Amino acid sequence: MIEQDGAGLRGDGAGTTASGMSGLHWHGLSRRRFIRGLALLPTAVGGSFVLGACSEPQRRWRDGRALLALSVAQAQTLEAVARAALPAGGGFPDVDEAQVVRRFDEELSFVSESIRGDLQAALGVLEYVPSLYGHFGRFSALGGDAQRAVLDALCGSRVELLRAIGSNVRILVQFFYFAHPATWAATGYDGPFGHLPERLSEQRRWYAERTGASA
Amino acid sequence: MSTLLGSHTEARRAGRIVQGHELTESQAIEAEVCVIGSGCGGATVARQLAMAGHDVVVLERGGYYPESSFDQREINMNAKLSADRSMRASADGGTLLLSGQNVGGASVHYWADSYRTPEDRLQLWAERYGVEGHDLARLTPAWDELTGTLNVHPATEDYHNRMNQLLRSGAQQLGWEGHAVPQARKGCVKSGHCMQGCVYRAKQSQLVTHIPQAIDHGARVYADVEAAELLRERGQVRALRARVIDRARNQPSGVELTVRARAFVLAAGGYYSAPFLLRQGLQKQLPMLGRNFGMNPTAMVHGLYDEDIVLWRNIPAAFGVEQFRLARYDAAGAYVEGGYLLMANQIQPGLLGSMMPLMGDALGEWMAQMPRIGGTIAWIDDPADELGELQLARDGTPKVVYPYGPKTQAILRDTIRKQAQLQFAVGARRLLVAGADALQLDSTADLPKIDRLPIRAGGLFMAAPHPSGGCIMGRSARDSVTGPSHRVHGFDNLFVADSSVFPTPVSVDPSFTIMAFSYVAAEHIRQML
Repeated sequence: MIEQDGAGLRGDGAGTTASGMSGLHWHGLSRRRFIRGLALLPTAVGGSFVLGACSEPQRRWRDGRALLALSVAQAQTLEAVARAALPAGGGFPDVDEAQVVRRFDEELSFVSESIRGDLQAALGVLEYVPSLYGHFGRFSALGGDAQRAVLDALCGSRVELLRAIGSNVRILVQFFYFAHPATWAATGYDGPFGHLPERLSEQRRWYAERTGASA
Repeated sequence: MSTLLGSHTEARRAGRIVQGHELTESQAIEAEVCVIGSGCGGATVARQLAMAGHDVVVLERGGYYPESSFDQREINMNAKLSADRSMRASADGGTLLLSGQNVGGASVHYWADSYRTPEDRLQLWAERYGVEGHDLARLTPAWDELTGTLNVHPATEDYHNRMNQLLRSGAQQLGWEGHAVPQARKGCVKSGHCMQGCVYRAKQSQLVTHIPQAIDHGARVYADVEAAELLRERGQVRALRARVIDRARNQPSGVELTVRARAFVLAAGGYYSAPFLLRQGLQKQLPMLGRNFGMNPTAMVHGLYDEDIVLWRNIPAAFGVEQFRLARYDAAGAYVEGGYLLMANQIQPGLLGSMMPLMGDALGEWMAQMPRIGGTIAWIDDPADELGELQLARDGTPKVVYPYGPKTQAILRDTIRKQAQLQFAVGARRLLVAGADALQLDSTADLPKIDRLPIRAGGLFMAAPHPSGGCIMGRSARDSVTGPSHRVHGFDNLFVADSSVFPTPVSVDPSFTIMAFSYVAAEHIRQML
């Protein structure tokens, strides 16, 4: 097993810092360039994760609707994160029923390019990072326990960027899941006060139309 | 004024809100004052100037969402009210940056706590940073008026939900000072949806107070319009070029507005005002631009109780522990404790679930007991010598570089310890620190574990809804971006009226400070008109 974080990913000072949070220096390499560099790594060895967003002829998700922000490969990684991170059983709904991937794609369609690019690249890193932790295979192909172990290792990594990748993707997945009405019965949440009807914004209607939801 | 386009003559006579979909052709607009942003700063300045008889135009990047469009669902309302759907993080990825982007700004999703600026903070700003003309005597009349306008009053007993009662009880047991928090509310129905926008017009946000008051006095508010470029000439801003946003796509529609005015007021908020000026190429002229950035990062501790807490109903910050507002240091300058406000947490299920540092069935076990989950939150008063910087990301959006220096880390550790201590004192059976390390505490015997908790970016799950600095007020361009008149150094007619002028964070919720400062800004703007 490779030591946590893997020597090859360590920044200046091997991840240990005097000030703790901000002491990592990447010799001028920006966060975005770094994670994009990591995300592009698999393409150099035959993968097509990041480029997949533009090269796939059909960016259509399993629900039959188009994806606007994510590639199918990115959506698969995200789905794997969701299945690993979210509860199964105990009355909690499935990731599909809570539409986690669909909502992630929708939200990402409307944010600034820098945020969208970072999160797309983060999913690329996630898919190919397991080998650094001794797991042979892409993230989406691992078993649930291994996936959770990789996520735990990422979130607890001494490398700031890996922590950011693990934590941010997980936080968003959990946010979209528990905000979905399908999960409320299992949590004991009685729903929005007054049970007002859902009022779709212009952006929600636009996204639904563009992805073929009304068909 | 005689060049005003005919199609807008009517709009000028009667104030109104103009939405992006109504703007189908590029056009020029004239006004005495153009305000960029419609939150606590921009709406207040607009209201003050409009009520004084001035012709005011307000530009707002976000949409206009009246209460009839609210459905109180977390993600839907987050998308309508928040910039970048609250998905922007600090450059280290460790802190979520929360800000409003809609007519009314962050006030539409804020918690409505309305603290007057502590006098010690005003003195610090005056003595160390040269913030003149913003002392207690100057600001008090503004607060007195705002107290009436926004119906500000301490939370009464029936507005203390169970978590606020426990917070108060814990503070009393431990001998910590705290008070009922002043609230800007009228006829609150205790829905618990402050962060989703108040359907009931009870929370006295800018959307239901200063914006309509400004409109009643002739102000024109343009929603879905993004300020792009200041057209400048020797220290004078002649005009502002702005882009109309197609709200459905959240992209520029291709229609542009050119606003000509005698004065321009930047009130885009703490995360956006400094980046706007950076995009104008003013960094060399204003070396302090983007500096002294603070954001009140938050640290949370969740607790599991034997009784129902129902964290998501009634108002959020009814009671506040003020004992630790200021950090204390010993004679040698070593940190002792404090540097934060301590509140009861209030979050709906999506946000609570996202802040749970557990996965799989362990996460399910906690979330299945949601009615019995309580929690506390601390707003960190960022130490003045460990502030961050606002820069520009490659796409021109804000990039927050924040150091989380040693004092900040010590404050975070101290507040986690205090939150745990308090929650155990009032009956919590188990605690969970909101952070990637998933520190779980089963009793006070576990408190020493907090001393070993790594405090680092992405380690604690934190959000930052109170940005400050970036265009700080001071004496000259060497030490600040704006002067005591809120005027940007080197400009005759460009002002800043939002939290970005604060040299440090306020140490309490900043909304009331922003509004009072905006009263002062409006007076200076009137003098130059």
